[in-house]
Amino acid sequence: MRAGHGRRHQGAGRLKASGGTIRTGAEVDQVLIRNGKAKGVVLAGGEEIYGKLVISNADVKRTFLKLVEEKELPDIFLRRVRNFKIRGSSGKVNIALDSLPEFPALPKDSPAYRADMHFTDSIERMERAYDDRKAGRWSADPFLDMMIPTTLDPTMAPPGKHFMSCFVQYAPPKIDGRDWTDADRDGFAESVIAQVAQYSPGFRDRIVHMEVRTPREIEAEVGLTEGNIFQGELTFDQLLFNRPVPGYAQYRSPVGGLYMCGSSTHPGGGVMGAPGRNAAAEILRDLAKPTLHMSPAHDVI
Amino acid sequence: MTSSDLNWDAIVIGGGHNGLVAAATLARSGRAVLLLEAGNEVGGAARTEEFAPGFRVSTVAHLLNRLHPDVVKTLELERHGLTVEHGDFMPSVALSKDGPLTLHGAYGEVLTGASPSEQSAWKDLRAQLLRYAGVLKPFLSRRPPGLGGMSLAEMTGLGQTALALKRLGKEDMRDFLRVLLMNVYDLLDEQLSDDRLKGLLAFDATLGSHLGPRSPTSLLGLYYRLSGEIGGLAGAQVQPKGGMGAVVAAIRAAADKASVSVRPASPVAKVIVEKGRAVGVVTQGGETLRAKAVISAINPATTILELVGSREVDTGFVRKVKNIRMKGDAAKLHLALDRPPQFTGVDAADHKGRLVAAPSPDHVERAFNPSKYGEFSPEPVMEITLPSLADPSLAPSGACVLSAVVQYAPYALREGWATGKPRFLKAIMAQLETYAPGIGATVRHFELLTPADIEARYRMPGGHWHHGELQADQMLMSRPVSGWSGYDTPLEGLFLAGAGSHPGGGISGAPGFNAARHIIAMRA
Amino acid sequence: MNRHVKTDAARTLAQSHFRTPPGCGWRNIELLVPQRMRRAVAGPAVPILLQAQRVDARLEGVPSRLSPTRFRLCSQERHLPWLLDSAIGYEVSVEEETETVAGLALQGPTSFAILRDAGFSGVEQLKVFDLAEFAHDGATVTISRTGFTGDLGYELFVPAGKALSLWDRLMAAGELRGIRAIGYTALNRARLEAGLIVANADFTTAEHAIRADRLRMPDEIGLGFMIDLDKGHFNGRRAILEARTKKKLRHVLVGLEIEGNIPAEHAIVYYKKSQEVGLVSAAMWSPMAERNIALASLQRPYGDTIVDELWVEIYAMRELQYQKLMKKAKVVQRPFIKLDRRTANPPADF
Ligand SMILES: Cc1cc2nc3c(=O)[nH]c(=O)nc-3n(C[C@H](O)[C@H](O)[C@H](O)COP(=O)(O)OP(=O)(O)OC[C@H]3O[C@@H](n4cnc5c(N)ncnc54)[C@H](O)[C@@H]3O)c2cc1C
Ligand SMILES: Cc1cc2nc3c(=O)[nH]c(=O)nc-3n(C[C@H](O)[C@H](O)[C@H](O)COP(=O)(O)OP(=O)(O)OC[C@H]3O[C@@H](n4cnc5c(N)ncnc54)[C@H](O)[C@@H]3O)c2cc1C
Repeated sequence: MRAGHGRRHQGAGRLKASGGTIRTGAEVDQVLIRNGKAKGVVLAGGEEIYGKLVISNADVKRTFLKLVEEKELPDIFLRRVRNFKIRGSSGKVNIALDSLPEFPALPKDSPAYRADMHFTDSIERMERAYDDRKAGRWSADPFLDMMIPTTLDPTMAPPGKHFMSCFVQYAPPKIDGRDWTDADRDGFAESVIAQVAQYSPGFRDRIVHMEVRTPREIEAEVGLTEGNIFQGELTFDQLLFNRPVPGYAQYRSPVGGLYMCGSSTHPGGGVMGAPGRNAAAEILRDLAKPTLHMSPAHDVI
Repeated sequence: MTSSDLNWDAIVIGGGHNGLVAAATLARSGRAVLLLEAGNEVGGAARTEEFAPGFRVSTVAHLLNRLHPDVVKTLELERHGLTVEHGDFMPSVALSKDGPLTLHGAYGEVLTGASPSEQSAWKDLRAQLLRYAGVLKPFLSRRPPGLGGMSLAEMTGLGQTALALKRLGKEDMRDFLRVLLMNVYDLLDEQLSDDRLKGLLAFDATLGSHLGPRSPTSLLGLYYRLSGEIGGLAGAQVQPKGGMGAVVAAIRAAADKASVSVRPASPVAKVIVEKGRAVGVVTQGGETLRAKAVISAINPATTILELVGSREVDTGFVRKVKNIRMKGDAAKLHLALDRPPQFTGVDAADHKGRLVAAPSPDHVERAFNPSKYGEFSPEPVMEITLPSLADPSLAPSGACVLSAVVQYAPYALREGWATGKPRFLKAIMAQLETYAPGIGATVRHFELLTPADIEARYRMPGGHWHHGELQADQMLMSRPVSGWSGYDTPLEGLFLAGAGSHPGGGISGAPGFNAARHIIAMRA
Repeated sequence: MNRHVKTDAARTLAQSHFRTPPGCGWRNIELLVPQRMRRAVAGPAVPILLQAQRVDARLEGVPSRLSPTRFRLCSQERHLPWLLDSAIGYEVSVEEETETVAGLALQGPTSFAILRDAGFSGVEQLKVFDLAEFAHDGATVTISRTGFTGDLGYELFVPAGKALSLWDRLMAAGELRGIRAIGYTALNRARLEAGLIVANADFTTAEHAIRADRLRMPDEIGLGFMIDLDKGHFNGRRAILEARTKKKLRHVLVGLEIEGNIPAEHAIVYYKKSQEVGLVSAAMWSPMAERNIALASLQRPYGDTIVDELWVEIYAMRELQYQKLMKKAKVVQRPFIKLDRRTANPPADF
């Protein structure tokens, strides 16, 4: 896909076209609640915006532990939200390169240069990487999901230059129980570079710039609590009727007019849009409005 | 007339406790039953044996916590010598450098050594765990629900489970469904804060399986443990007087009373199949014995792949059987000690209890990690008992027997057990020394049984506790393999009745009992 | 289609090779060969449809016996893992040779003459199902008198490296007889006239069926005759037995002759023009039989005990318009065409 995930902007365009307004740089500080019903939001700057419905795309912990006051929520719901597991496990390293790296293991001009590459050649290596994560460290020998998108779309970098995208596991939300430091971040990046360099001689010399995102940066930049990429772990206890919490798996919340539509809800994370679509359907149902204009996901025969 | 001329109603292969229970139950229905046991003694992994001159011990299973009440009642085991008294309930002691913590009565009716807030958190969690295990408990005494063509009885059984769920109340039922397939580590983290208590529970949940506390679904192991009962109390545990052999002796007496013919030292080499039907067995000695039904209370994979042979069953079935995971991680240590050891901070009464060295869930997890790579735990976790304290007949006077189940000792140790065993023993002794300083100097004899030793000695493939991992994918309708979970096999007249079948291992008699009842109901 | 000589490489998509010691009786070979093929087993080559031995028709393919202990299985799909698991408990070794051995089918009335002219002397000795080895380009080519067309024909196997030179040799020898390469469409027509069925076209194999009720038992695809229940265990024996005793056979595969000349491909079959009872999986107007023929899967008892009043609904598209036809269908014997030259000895020289 040429436009990358930027294609989402098309969605934004459509929203505007159908009469919606998008405001960026507008951090919500609080959801306004009167008599158990959501009335709008208060922005970080203090501006109040009123609305009939409030639909939160933020993860379930952020929404109900930060944006809504405790007194508005039943204990059992709060307990379950607190127990919701959203521990991060991944990081990202984006690398700008002044030339295409070489992988001697691949034939010259192999189409694999345009593919999703992995250096992990045994399940044991993956498992050991996870052992580090369990012990509260980033993986010394991580497993990478690595791509060079400029081999497909050269416009993403200046002519002749390249961009490498590395998805990295594992990176815990905290290191030995304390917050990440810059030194930790650099150590994490080094584990990635070292692995790539092991398979690509001269790799280090090609690096022009590097952007390193540990769960700390992911939380700070994208607002994903603990840097969890799916807005909540996708384990049995947090799937289907248990997502995000038992009793509230259908996008509603204990607060009237306050809905959830992010990946914390069913069916979960990934760039997929299903939680948002399903939430919209439920909201329309509550409003007794038709959903015929929503195309079905697909026919099942 | 030799027995080969007889036509038996049923031949039971394997005289482990499940084989004995199946044989006794079938014989009580009026069937002529022959039981063939490979070893010189019956009992399988439930035996009391001498491991050093004058020292006797329950050589594999050493704690009784799940002998099924239906088995006790139907076979009248109390009349045949089984005694369980309330005073026999053993506490569980969580050993720690910070001093011990003790669960008294039936799985911690009273908790001592913990803060008041932890005590109240434990009270809630214990009640919850027992409630949820209670929902699953009725499954122990039933055939697993079939997927196609359920009988009325099976439907009723499932209906009862649905009702039991409803009785929990809405919120409790929701929590039940949420936590069912969780890992024990996360659940403990939600509700408890004392590492010693959490370590003990994490140990119990993973005992006998190839799981660490953080492995998905590890909580099921704890439910399995708590679905068991003894002396009418869920979660309770006892050390039978005379060791596990005494329990088997009671079952054996019930079998004798029902006129089961028990033949030790008679390993079965082959199940005879004629036109797709099992019609008898051939012993290793070459004797042919015929019967209307053949009941195998040994390992399911051994039964199908070795005794029946893959030629008599479909490739798909062979594939499933071959894929049953059963590489054990539990070793057994027996020490003959000059005198009773002193565990630091543990009082005299608690020395008679179950002493668990698993100081935190992280410790258990770290102990598990190496086993994934075929290495033993450098700091193993273990469950220690000193049976001669309560039953002096097990050791010479003044001396003491120590019996411990130790994890993790992977069956297929990468370096091989020949060199690994002495190193593993050293690692275990180093742990023991930290909790009971000076114990090493009092060791007169030792015996360490690795899973490989257990396999060789007790004919338990992989040395596995349950004759097949007891995990979500090998439970209920998937035990031993999907499609064949109700004690039947693709061969007419051949049934399975050992721990490898539903509900699983432990000294329960449940698989043997359920299988026998199924055969009786089928009029096979 | 004029039944001309043709070569067709599409049939040998996957091959495995296995060795068994004499008398080993591997589950898919000797034990399973139906009684009426026993004689052939003792002989040099035995191609049989393996479908019959697998209840769920997982393992489709044609085995041939290369020597008393060596067999080759040619199948549409790769089955190595399944074969390996099937070998547990037997002294059998299985090797995948899909990439190393090339297969070629030479079919049609002049196929014998072309082989002879190409210099494979002795090929005239081969009776149907026989197989022999011949020299080719410093290697050996195995030629069997087999095929999937119902016509006189041969199948040739050579080490992959010799495939090109074999091709050239045949093309040169056959030039004057009009040899040409054909694709699947032509093969599909020939096999349909011969009444032969194709996995995952006329029935769904266990490997492919997503819905458990879409599998077919051998009895449901006309292969019940190949099952010999008295011969010890084979894969699927119990399921076949159960299906037969519990009357769980729900389908039947039949040959149809349909009035008119419009092919009824994928048409729905009706009883009395109204009740849906099945579907056509392959159909054509057969120029050789001069009949409008089809293979159909019907729900019993239709096609089994009730064979009257069967109709097919044909949607024939002509110039972007559907013409809906309701045509009478009659259950007929397969093959639709029986060519004596397929089995004639010595093979005819056209
Ligand atoms: C490193 C990484 C790599 C990934 N790789 C892939 C991949 O390759 N493929 C894939 O399919 N998925 C991938 N994912 C997962 C995927 O990106 C997410 O699951 C998905 O983007 C979540 O979408 P969402 O709309 O539910 O939530 P988000 O994308 O998290 O959107 C929430 C939005 O709410 C905003 N917000 C939060 N709090 C407030 C507030 N108080 N006020 C106002 N706005 C607020 C945030 O700024 C954000 O814009 C990856 C994730 C990560 C972190
Ligand atoms: C280290 C360890 C510790 C354990 N601790 C406990 C514990 O404390 N409490 C507890 O409840 N459970 C414990 N268990 C589990 C328990 O021991 C087993 O689950 C249980 O004994 C299984 O009983 P069974 O009758 O099904 O099989 P087995 O006891 O294995 O009996 C099978 C019998 O069949 C015989 N046999 C095998 N092959 C043949 C053949 N071909 N012909 C004839 N006979 C044959 C064997 O000799 C054996 O006697 C432990 C297991 C292990 C490995």
